[in-house]
Amino acid sequence: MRRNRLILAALWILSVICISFYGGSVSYGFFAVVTLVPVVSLIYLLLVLSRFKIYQHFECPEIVSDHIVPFYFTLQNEDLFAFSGIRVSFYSDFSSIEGLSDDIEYELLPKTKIKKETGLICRYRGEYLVGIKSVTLCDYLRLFRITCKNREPVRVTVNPDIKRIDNIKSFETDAVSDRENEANLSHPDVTVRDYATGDDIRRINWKQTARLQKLTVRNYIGEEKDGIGLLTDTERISSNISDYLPVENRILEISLALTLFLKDRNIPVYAYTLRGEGAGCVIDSSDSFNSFYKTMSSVIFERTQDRSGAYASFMDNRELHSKRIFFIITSLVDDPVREFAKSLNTGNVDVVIYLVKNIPAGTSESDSFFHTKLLTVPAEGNLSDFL
Amino acid sequence: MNMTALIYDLIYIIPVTAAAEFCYAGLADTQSISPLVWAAVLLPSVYLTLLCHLSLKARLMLTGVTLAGIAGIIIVFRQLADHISLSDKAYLLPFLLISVLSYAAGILMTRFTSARIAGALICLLLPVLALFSVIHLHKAGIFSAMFVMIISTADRIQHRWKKEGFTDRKTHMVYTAPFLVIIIAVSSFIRYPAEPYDWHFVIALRDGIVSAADRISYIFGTTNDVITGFSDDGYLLTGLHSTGKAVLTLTARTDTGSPVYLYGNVSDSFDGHGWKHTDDSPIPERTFDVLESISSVKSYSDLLTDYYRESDISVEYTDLKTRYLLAPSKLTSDFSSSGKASATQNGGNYTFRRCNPYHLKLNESYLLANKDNPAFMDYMQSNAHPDEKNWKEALNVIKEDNAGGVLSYDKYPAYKEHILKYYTEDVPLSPALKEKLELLYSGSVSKFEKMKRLEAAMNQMKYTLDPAPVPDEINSSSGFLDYFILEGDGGYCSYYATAFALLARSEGLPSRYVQGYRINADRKGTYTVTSDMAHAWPEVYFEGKGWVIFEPTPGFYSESIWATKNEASTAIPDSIPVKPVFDPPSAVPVSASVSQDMAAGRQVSAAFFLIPLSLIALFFILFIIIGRIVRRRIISGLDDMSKLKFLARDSLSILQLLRLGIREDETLSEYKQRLLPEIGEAPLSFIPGYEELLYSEKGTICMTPEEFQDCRTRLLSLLKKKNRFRYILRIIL
Repeated sequence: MRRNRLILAALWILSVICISFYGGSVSYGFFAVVTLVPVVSLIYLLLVLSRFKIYQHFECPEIVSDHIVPFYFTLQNEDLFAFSGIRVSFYSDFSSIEGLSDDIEYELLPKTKIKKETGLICRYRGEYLVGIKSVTLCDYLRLFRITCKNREPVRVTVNPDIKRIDNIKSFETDAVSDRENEANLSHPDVTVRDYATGDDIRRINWKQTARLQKLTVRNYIGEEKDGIGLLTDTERISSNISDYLPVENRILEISLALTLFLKDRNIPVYAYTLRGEGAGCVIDSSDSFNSFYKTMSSVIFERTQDRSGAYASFMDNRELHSKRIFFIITSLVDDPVREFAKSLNTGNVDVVIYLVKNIPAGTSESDSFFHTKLLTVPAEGNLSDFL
Repeated sequence: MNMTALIYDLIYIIPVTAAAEFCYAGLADTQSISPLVWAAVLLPSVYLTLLCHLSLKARLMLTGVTLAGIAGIIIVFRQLADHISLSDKAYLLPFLLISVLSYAAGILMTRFTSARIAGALICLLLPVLALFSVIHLHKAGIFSAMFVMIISTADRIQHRWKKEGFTDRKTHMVYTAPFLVIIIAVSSFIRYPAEPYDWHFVIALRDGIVSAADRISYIFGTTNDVITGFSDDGYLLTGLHSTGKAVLTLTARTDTGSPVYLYGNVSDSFDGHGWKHTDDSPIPERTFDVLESISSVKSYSDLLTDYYRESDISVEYTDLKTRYLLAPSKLTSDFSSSGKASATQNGGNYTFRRCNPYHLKLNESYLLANKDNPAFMDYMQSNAHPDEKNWKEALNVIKEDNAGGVLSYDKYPAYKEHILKYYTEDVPLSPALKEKLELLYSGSVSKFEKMKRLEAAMNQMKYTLDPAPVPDEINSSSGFLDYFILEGDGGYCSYYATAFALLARSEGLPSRYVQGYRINADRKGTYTVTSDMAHAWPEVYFEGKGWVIFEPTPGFYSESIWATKNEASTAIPDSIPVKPVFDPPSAVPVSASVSQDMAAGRQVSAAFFLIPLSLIALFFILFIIIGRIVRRRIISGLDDMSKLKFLARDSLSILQLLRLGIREDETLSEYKQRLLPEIGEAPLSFIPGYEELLYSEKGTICMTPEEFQDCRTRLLSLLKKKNRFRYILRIIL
């Protein structure tokens, strides 16, 4: 394009020289043509700008991060002249379009349309713009380019992804679940309850079931007392969306992954957030996990006015001190967090802090103080590698 | 026929043909050809292009029609051979050949990139040759060549552009060509001058910046240069630097024989160092001056032209921003109500209502005095003076309607008093100066003669742009005269004009100091007035005669003289042969034989159309009949399967005529499903059979040719109902 412009500029200067020394149709005609070429090209571009139509559409009512959502867009030319060069740019900070690059230029003949069926992948949970960001139009002589923003951008709310992990490095699950199993094996009069939808079939007490003629599951003694606590710190660390979105997404992923992992191993989880959404909900079944997922999908991250006060209220909660292990997933390990961890440690509760930071994927750090393990997890990368 | 491919070919072939034709016309220096003929010589290339894109049947038909038409025209021309000579039309044959060759070149350009580039380069060469006058190329040829260059460039850009979507290059060019056509069409309709562009606005801008810079530097004293030029500032300066900046354009419409003095500012009061304009009377002094002069001459002689004659000039302000109307004295034009150029008289000055912009052009008529003719001297020394009768005649001469009686003869005494009040001054002379002047004037019989002698004497003094500055202690007219005449070492026009005016006043004659421009425009023509033509001169009032201009500045004196009628009549005339008067030929009556020929011509012109049309119609009929016979024979010779395919394809072509043709990405089944709601099952029942026929491995179907024929008949009835015209075409063709 620059080359074409330079050639045109050189020709225009040449035409000006021609008309300065020669009169007549050749020199003036050359000048007129060379002057009109960019003018008409510009008019053409403005015409295309006012007339071209673009549509975009998503097929999925709910979008989950890292999942492909069917995405269609259509470029349409309803006029009697060709649209020479149309380039579509997409929002790429937090989402990507499968198989389509921003470099592709399309041509549309009169009364034709181009429909592209592809997939949209949103990388993070949150609310942001996706899809077509802008359209760049180019004239038939590649002299000018006009970029116009999408007049109707699409804002989506993306739910966090549920990642399954096989193992958690930071603690021994057996140590928690074995004690609970021991209670069942040697005591025939084990506490049972009725089977609820979603309960693990391994927990069905067949003996009791046969006796009572209804499905019953073992109710582990002491599990309510020895559950796992999980606190999701919903503090927003930055006002820049590029900074906070990956971190918050990771925090939620860790919360959900941990909860799912523990739920699958019949270890009930007591989940808390800093602002108390779904305060102290217990996740011990699929239903409760689904409910927990909905809560986490709609949780709001924001700057807390009184962070110390929020953590202090947790420290006063005796329930938390009866947990065997307490997970804190946060983006900021400051004094309130340390104080809280220390208070839990004082009550013989092991604490694992997952500190999510915007560090390069592949790097992780670990630290420990008192009975607290501090693991730094990058906001990007495979979660299994760090948990 | 692929319309896109046809238009793409025509986009190249038509301008290539036009460029080639006009180039040949320029080289052959062909006489002017009418636009109709131009269209006709382009026709072969268009015809061949069309032929190239038609099907075999269509080509045969078109060729047959063309040949029939040509045959008919030949027959007609053989009859008209006596009246129309074809030999003088033979110059068109090369054009027809070029048309055919251009078609070939155009087709190559559309098919091969290298041919396209070569063609574009040749089309680039043609205007270049025309620019350097190697060939004469018509405007249409120039723009045709430019169009070929642009279209080739756009084609090449499209070819190298990596895109997705509908990227067929030819289709792209067809749908973007209109924009390129607009460029060429708009460019070709503009009228272009034969002269190179003078960039006057750039030059004016540059000069404006330069003069503004000069003024600023002068005001702030960054330069000591005093630049020559007109201003209403009447001070006697020193150390002038002349500048040749063009300020006006003067066009003399008649031979004047003497320089033109354009009056700018008139001053009446001198303080020893400079002149001031104090006369702000609204009396139209310049008009009164003209009336006085004319009526005075009329009272002296019947021949006004012996003493004054009218001259016409036009003055265009090109680079002079001033509120003064620059015009000669004794103006006979009236500028009191000239719209933008309206000016009022104010104490001997003509001023615009506000400072005028550039490029104001004024036509001015004025009276030139026969000042140096002895007859004029006699007149000036006579007692002639205006009277009421001559005054009225003078009003008629200058075409003044004297609305309100402002210019009436009874206002004349007041005018004279006004002149005496403002333009006279008691100028005492020193004894030494008085002695010099008495010597100069001795023997003179009139004041006019004294002034003439004074003018001649001053012309012998020294001219310099850099005189010594006038000493500060000089603060009177007498003091200046003593200094300049007795002690000074010369000066420039302002000094001499001042001295002359003061010396005239010392003789009791009203006089004034005038600043303006002096242009050596003694012949008819256009003159550029530059800044260094600014000048100052004196005028002296002679009661009953009016103001008379004098030129005391050394080197500037020029005679203003022409022969009076008396002097001219005594001269020997040149013997010039008189041309005979041309008699136009009288009308020749039309002969009877010519009348008969005209009647025969009317009959022949009817045959000119009827015979070819009849032949074309005959060809059509034969074509249709033969076509049907051939078709029947072909069909009868087909086996069943081929017949079925033929009938099926025929039915599909009828659906195409109904604008229900099959789409590119559609199967036959999908096609049928799409058309079912609109047409119904019966006419489309052949489609499954056709599909089976095409794709089945068995090669047989369970439908008969009669069933296919039935479907075809139903479709034809549908076509007849929906579009009778297409139905008729279908039947015929």
